[in-house]
Amino acid sequence: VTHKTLGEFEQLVLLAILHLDGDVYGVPIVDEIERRTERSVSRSAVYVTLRRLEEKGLLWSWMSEPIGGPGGKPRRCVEVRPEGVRLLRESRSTLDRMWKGLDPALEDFA
Amino acid sequence: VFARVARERGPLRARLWYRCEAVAFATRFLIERSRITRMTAPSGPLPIAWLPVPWLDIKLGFRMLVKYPGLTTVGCMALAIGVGVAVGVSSLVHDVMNPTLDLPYADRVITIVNVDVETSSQEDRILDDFVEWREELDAVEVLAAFRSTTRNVTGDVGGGEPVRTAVLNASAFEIAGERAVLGRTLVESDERPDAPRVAVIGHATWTARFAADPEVIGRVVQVDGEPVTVVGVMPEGFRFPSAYELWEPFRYNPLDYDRGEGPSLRLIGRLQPGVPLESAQAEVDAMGRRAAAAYPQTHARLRPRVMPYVRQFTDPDEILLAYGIQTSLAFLLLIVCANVGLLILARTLARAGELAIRNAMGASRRRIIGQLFVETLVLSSVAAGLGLFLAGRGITGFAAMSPTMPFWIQPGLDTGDFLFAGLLVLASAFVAGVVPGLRATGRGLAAELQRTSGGIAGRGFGAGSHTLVVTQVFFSVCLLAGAVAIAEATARFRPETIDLPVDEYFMARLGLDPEVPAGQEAEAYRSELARRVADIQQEVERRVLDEPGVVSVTFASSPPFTDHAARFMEVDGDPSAGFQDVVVRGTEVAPTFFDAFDAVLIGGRGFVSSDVEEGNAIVVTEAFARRMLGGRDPIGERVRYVNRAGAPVTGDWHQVVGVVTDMWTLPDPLGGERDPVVYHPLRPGEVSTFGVVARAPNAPGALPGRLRVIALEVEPTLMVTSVGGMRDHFDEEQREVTLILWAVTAGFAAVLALSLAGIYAIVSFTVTQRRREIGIRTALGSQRWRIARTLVSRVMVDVAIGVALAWGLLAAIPGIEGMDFRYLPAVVATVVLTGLATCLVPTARGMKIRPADALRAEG
Repeated sequence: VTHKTLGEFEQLVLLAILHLDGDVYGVPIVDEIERRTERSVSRSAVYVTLRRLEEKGLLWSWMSEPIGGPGGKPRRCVEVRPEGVRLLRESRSTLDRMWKGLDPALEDFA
Repeated sequence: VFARVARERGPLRARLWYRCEAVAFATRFLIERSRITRMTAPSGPLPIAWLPVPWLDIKLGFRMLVKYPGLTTVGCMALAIGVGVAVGVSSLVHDVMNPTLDLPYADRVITIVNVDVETSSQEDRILDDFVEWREELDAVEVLAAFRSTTRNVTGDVGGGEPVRTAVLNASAFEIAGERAVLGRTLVESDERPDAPRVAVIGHATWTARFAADPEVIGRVVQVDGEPVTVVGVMPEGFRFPSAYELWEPFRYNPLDYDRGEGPSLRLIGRLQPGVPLESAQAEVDAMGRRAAAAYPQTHARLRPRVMPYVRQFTDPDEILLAYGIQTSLAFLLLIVCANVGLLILARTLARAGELAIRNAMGASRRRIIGQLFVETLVLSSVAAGLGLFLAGRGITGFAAMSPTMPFWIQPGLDTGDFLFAGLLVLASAFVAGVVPGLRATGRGLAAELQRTSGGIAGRGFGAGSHTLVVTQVFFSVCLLAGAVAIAEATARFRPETIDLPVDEYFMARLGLDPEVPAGQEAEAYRSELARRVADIQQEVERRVLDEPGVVSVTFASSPPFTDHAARFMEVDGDPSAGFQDVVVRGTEVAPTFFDAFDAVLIGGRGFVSSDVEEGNAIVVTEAFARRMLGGRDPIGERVRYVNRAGAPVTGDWHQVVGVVTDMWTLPDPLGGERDPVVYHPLRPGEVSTFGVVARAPNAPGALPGRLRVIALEVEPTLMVTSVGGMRDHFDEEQREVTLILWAVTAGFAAVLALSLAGIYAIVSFTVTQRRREIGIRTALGSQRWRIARTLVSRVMVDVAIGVALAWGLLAAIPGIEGMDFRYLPAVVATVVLTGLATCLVPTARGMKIRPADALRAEG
């Protein structure tokens, strides 16, 4: 079994999806990341990451009803699979373990 | 009877017999009824209901074709060329400028391009933009990207030959709406980075490289030296989205590149049903503004544009040029018609007596003109048939010469072209039949009967005919002068006349894909590319030198007789020298180049390795010194490239370190002077495509093939093209000049034939018209040469005026000042003598008129 890991940007995308409700697709995810991280994000990077996460089996996607009424385009909406949530937790605990005990030592670098 | 036949032959055969009998009976009945109707019909032409013109006139038209074979031949040929050229070019222009996309929902197929508003050029590195447009545009149903490249495919037949390849999204096949004839098309899962490497091949590649092997699906073949599995074969003629024969999955990822970097892409998409293009434009405008604000460094000057797919490939300047050509061809056809009209007018005036009698017997002027129109219509219809045949052959030949023509251009005559030809036939018949008819049957036609007899008419051609002869003689002289000048240059452009034994040289063009691969820094990749190119050159040189018969090997970005960059230069400190009228041909060459070509160094030195590192030294030819520097010593002079407006291109100055003889350049056929050539040191880092040239005085015939094999063994991803002897490239260049020569000569021949026909018609008519006067003058003892002078003087004045105008123009136009017109007097003499020779036959006829015959006929 291949051991899957998550990159930083993949974590940001997965977390943004989990924060959002309803039909979750590219644009709201970009907005959510930008709002929370206060840094600009390339939309193309988000779209490609979404496809990559789906290929890894961490997301599932479906085409929504046309968004914005008649003439609107169906969007590829996404939802995080349990495997994605598990990997997020694992990433966080890995980082937490790595951080543990470093804070007092790094105070001088502040 | 049916029952008997059914008994004898069986019911099925009986039914068949019955139907055949019924059809035969009906046909016999119709033929018989038609015969009885003809016999019992009142006198006069038999009208055929479905024909808009009387049948009798059509028969008369065909009789006229036979009765006047000279006019039929000249008129038919002239109209056939006129109609053929007009229809052929119009068809090609229409196919190229207004292509019909043979795709499902073709009217919704679009592209999106990013235009740099400052340079008006297209920015092709749009990977990020493409992904955003694909995901966000509401107005676009499907959007796919593709990149053009060339791959060496090793099949069962041939070895590693280049195939035009599209690296494209699987969704592009959805737009194409075409299934594979074997296997499948590409699918989205092929685009995953960890998916196995697959490709779909075109029908031509399948048949040419794999001998149409039905088991090709699943086979692993070598593409650029890498194993690739063939998963599909597309149907014959499928070259979507332009002119490709191999399709690979699109695996470019924006995360691997900085914005504005990555592969050069083109897009193809389809609008949502019922959504206008303007809606898509409004959406990309908004996205373009957002991108410009978010990424000012790369996107501030970019404006996305949505347009019909094929529009991106059509240059607005080319559209103007194409329609300009069409208009001039319409003008050519008008001239042709005017000439044929002149001939028909001569024939009509000679038949004035017959027309007057018909008029007296009750035929209206309208009826007579109608008859003349139909006669000409028959002539022009026959000519149009011939013209369409010529146009069809010409277009097929043109298509065969252009294998990389995009799939949406399908040259060939279609219904529209036939309708256009029909229109031209009607217009020709009007100009060449009705206009002379109106003139010949003008007021007083009935009086002709009283005043004349024996078919002698009393009216003339008018000033228009003389203007026509003057104009055509003018064009004849211009075209013949041009043809002679080009022929002379072509005659000089032979291997024997240049200081280069072209048969001893063999070459191939080698190229590496300059695209920066995913995940690599552009700068780092370019230095790696430079190193690879240097290594490849070194290894290719070593291995080619090992081949039997090879005495030297060198490299050049553009070897002799291949396309050279044509640019302008300015000289440091000499603003008078320069860019305005001297085109400089530039090429980068290896230090071994001059030795390999036995170049004679007139001054300074050749390239040394330090020149390759620094890159600013140049070696120039004698023609450069002569034309750019007024003949002074160029060593040490500094020059730099400028654009057409005179502004520096890069600002880098190049210093002349050596001067060599004009080894291989020859005077431009239209310019008269040799082109100056500037040699730069070939720096491996700056070129990804270059030519390898091997000199082998006694080379075995297999050497060109060996060049390809060696190159691919050294580097399997090399694109190897233009493999062959230097003689082939030389011949190619010569062929272009010869083609121009043929075109000009054909133009000259056509115009001269028309002017001669005009001259013949005028003199012939003059003889007929002045028959009585000639008879009287002969009776009064006038000398024959005086009579001949009377007959030809007017038309020879026209010829003289045409010649004088042409001579004046050729001497005055500065654009063709450099052309060698020393043969102009001979050209003029040829046209004048041909004109005089044309007058001979009708003049001799006039001189033979005996007074008694003329007066008897008048009586």
